[in-house]
Amino acid sequence: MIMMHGWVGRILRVDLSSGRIEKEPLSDYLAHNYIGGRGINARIIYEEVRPGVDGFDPANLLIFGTGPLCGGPIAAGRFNVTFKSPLTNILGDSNSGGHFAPELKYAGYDHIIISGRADKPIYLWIDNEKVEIRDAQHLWGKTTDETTQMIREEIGDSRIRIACIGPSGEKLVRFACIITDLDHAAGKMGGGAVMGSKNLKAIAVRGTGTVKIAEPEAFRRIAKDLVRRTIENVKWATFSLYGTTEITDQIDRMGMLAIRNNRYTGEHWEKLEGVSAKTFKKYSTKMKACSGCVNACDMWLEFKEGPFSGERGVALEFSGIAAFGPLCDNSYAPSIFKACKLCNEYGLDHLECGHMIAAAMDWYDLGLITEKDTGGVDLRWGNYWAIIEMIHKIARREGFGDVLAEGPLRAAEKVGPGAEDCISHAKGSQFANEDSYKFNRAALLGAATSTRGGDHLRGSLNYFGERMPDKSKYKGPKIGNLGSYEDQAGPVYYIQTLNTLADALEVCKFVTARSMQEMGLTEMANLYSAATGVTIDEEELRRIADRIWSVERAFLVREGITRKDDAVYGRVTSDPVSSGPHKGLAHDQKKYDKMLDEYYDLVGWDKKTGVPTREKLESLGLKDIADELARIGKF
Amino acid sequence: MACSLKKTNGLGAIKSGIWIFMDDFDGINKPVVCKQCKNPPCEKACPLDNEKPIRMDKRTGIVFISNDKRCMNCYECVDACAFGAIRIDPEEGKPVKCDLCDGDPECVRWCHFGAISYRNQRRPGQRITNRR
Repeated sequence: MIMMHGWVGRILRVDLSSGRIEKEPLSDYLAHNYIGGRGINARIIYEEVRPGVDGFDPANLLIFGTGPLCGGPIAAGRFNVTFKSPLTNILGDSNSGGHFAPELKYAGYDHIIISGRADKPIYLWIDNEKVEIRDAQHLWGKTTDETTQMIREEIGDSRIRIACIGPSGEKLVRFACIITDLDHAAGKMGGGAVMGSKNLKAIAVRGTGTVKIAEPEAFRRIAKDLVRRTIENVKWATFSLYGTTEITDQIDRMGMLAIRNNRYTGEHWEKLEGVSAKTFKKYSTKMKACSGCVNACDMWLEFKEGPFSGERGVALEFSGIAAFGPLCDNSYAPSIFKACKLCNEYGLDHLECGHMIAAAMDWYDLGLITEKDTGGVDLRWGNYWAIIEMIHKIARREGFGDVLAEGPLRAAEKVGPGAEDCISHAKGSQFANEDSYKFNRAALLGAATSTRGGDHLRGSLNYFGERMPDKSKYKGPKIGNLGSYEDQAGPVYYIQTLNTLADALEVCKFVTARSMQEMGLTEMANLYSAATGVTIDEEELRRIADRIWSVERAFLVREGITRKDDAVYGRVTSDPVSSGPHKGLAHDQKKYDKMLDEYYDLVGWDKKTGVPTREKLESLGLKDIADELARIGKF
Repeated sequence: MACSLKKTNGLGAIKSGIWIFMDDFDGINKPVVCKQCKNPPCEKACPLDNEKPIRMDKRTGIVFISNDKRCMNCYECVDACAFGAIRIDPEEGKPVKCDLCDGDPECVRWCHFGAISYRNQRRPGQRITNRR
């Protein structure tokens, strides 16, 4: 095996049906053309999962991927899980922080590819070279906390890292997630359900090796400089103090908080006090960080009084607050924490779960469902006991919870006509705080064109005019302007490039220029070159991002996604802003189509069909994909 | 990580002389690092005689592990440490511990928060003086 720097150079392949475990080298082709993480995962899933495979089919793959910077002291402790999503039936991938990814690399693997289905519950134990499939029948039905504790006790090492699913993953709740280290989640798209369908309860890793760095001196210099600049950045002060909870206040100040399942927006929410960052800070005793990060944005909370006395842990993120808070018209902070914590224990995606409960409350309010349907749960707006009751029901698939566990579109279909109007989604997946998308058309475009369905982490642009990171290229008064459809495609494309590279290198998006922090394309290129010894520049990085984006798009196209799917449905586009200074601001389909045309031009997709053009694919060295798309008649 | 990057030119939490005890359930992160004892039990535990591979530098007071070939990886020093500050590098089988980077600790250079700082040892009645 050739010595690799940055990457450890090995892929672990586990077939659960036959129990076969193989270790294969990571090819230079994959490493140099797709970097790692989300990039390599996308290529592997494109090659190995045929179109039309169901999310729960044993032929579906579950791919864990780390990146070449992973394990470095620059907030690069993330991994990507890629699979065919049971929620949306298209590409599903999900990203998580914590300490699992560095441990996996220290154990000597860049990627784990899991295929097939075990005939009884098992877990995977990776102890450096030794990989074994172990019985997990005693763990089945246990929460993520219990599973983590029990595996650590069984192996007798409290320092091993565990990625596991909770009871909801076993019950195939379509938005179940994979939890690592108790409170970090690869949340979206239902990775936990895929894991559950494979009867794989957990992956436990112990790694005691090292990752070689090609130019340690240069790497140290760049990383150290980046850490210093990150701390000096104005964003760091609030972020390291409040974490993502501060976003609630920010968005409310702009009047963009989505209230009561996107019914009201445009003004300050009068109950904000209850869920503001300062309120949560009162309960917080310390901040916690993922591997190698100076941002430390996880708030450790402890509640010592009230009905949720004794609850503690890290569980809270903005997406959870927005979903269980304003969206359900609930402003009792401890109840929001309890809801998020329960989601983590059950292994549920708190974003999708909160949105489902908000939609259920909306249906209840409209009279589409009654107390008889919900099994006696009084789903009034703001009733947090009902929220908690519903989470239990969803995770166990009991009563009405069984309907909600099917995900937004399937649940709406079961509830009946009119139910789907209450759900805002793109390609069947929901995203955080939809109402800002009523104002910000760039964010709307980002969510609509995202390769994993509605998403706030792929292309959503939160910049306004002068604050764009790459000012030389994207400067103009209209960028991110409220309600404007002009000049938005360029910045969206740029942010998508940044996010794709962050996912491929597996660095946290909160230290990149996307979150107004310091790591831009230049820094990424420098770090990549120093870590791997492969010299690369900004242009080449952009090409790699394009390549990953095109492969993902090709995967979607093969599944039947066309231009008409590149849209956001529901209240975001159907209802105008309800109050405040921007009252009446409404979605304009014609202007949106023009913006989409502009975007297609930039990324090189066909304007009629939304398929990546042959020229674009061939210029990125993806002739094989162009040939395949031609063979199935896509162009 | 900063430590392993300097000492081994690679990344590996296990190769680091300073390590963090983590309890996810109680949210406790506690750094574990050599206390540079004045009467080091690790040195005493080493079965070799004169110029032990693990010993205290008489001039600086730093307890360090030398590259002495005589070290037979018996891990007596690992067992002797009451703080768990000496760990075993599983790849090379050698004990690893903090040697304060000869008076310029890399971890201190990385820590921008003052959580780790490098000071002179305090004796009773002596005022703390900051070296850097």
